[in-house]
Amino acid sequence: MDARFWLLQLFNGISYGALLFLLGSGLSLIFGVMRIVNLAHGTFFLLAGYVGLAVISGTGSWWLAIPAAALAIALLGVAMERVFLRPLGSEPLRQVLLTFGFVLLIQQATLDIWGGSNFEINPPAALMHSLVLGGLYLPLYRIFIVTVAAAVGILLSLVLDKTRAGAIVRATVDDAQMARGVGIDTSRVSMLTFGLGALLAGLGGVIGGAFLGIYPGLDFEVLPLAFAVVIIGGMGSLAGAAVGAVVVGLADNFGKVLFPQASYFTLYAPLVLLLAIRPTGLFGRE
Amino acid sequence: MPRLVISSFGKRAGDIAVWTLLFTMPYWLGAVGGYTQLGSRVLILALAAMSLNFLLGYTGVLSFGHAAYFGLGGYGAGLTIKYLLPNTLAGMGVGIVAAAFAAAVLGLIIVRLRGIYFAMVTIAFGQVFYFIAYRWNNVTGGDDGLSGWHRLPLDFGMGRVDILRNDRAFYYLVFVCFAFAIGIMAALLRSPFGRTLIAIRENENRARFLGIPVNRHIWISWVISCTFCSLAGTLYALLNNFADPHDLRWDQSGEFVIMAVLGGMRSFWGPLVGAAIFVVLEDYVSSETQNWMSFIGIFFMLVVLFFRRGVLGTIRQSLAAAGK
Repeated sequence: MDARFWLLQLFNGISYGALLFLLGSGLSLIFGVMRIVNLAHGTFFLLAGYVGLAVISGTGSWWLAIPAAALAIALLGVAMERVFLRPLGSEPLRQVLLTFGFVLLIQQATLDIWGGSNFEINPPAALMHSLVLGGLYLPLYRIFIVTVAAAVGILLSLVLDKTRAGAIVRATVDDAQMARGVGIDTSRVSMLTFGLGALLAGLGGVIGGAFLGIYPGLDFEVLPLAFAVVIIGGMGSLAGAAVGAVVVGLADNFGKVLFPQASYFTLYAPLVLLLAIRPTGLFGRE
Repeated sequence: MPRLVISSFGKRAGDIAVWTLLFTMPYWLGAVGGYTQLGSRVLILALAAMSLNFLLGYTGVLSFGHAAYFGLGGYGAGLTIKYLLPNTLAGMGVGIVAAAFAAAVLGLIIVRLRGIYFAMVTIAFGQVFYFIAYRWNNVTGGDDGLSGWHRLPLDFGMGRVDILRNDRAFYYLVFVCFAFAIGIMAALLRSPFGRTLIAIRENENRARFLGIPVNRHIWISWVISCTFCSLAGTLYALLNNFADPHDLRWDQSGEFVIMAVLGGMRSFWGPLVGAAIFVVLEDYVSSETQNWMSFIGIFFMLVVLFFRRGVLGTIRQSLAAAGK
């Protein structure tokens, strides 16, 4: 176990964190605007993987599968918000319970359509190579994930900080009532945010399908990871989601390498520690 | 105040009716198409849902992690009987103590959180137990669950109760545990402590201004709730002679929440009604079609959308409206 080994593990942890960022940032955004936790977020992730598979087997194009699946999940999110969550207005408990209803419904639907087997999405051959960097073999696919996550993160933070649309979202996050008072259509903001959150989860699902696989139960496995990300980072904060994702990615990866028997403790140890010191997360507000 | 007298009389009569129905269940269940084991299942899951509702309905805190303590009870009982001591009551004792201890320790961190954070952290911590049961193959049986053990007849020295072969005897073991736990929770809710919990639910800030140590009260409520939920878990494992890792997973917690909300979380007996509907539907629907989960998913969504008070709450509301 030389320095190279540790550097490689560091890279693996960060690239896993990049995937978790796609999942966690959407969850965090949805919470920021709507004050609900979307229990169907892991379900979106899994469903996107299946949709991606279907697109690949239909068209043969992996590059097409990513936007197609992400858009499909975004549309599902928009429909869910419009038809089911919106009528409940400002009752977070009932909205959360409703998202759980979707978890059960989609779980059964995916089981009926795709069965109980394990699938894997094979990325195009161009991404199957490794990049040799100073004696380190870095899989191109993981570099691709980091690039996508970084691009998404930078784009989102630019939109949020620099544009009018971003200002509207920030105003809604800060004080929805006040935002309505100055004429912002917060209902539309909720719909678009829920759609965007679903889109990000969908993006993660297709991209993650290559190294997590796609199988029934994946939805239940990734959701607590997404929670760990936003709990550590602080709900409603994009920067928090990024930091939280890297922390969870590293904790998970090094946990699996160092203590393979107890990797779930190493994953939750930073979580417990942080909650004991700062219950609102690193970037969260009261 | 004649109205008050009537309503408290009505409540008393309702309680007596519920207890009579439950006590005689093995004798009338067959006549309406059920069987004794189904009755035990209803009562066990009702205990779990009512324990959850002690926290959700009466303290105002949503936990999505109760399955962890339910499952800890079950695995505690199963592992004890399989490896340590072939004694049903000892197994139950170990399961409950283990779960209560875990709840007490994790509760110290969890009770500092509120709302959505509370729900998320209970899920995250709960999943740790699921993964232990799922991964620790050679002890817990992993994904296949913990089998190769069964409940044993109760031996009281002077007499033996064969809960293994006699379904009715097992039902009455469940009934005694249920009555014990529900009796304690009902008494607690009538006590000043219970009133304080309701005050916290209604307005936490006001309760704090009155000098109530809010976090300590929520912690006690959490530990009581998890402990009785683990009692239900031990009984569930004994009923099946099997402990399933999925009993620990967060969607099982979600099912307890469904039962409480379905029946009505502001009614004391609501979760019992919810559990009965859930279990009977599951038994019926899963024998007719494979799509049990989507069925309950749709059913649950309809209840959340249109019957915000749950079945019992809605009935009570329309009775009150009719009486006016």
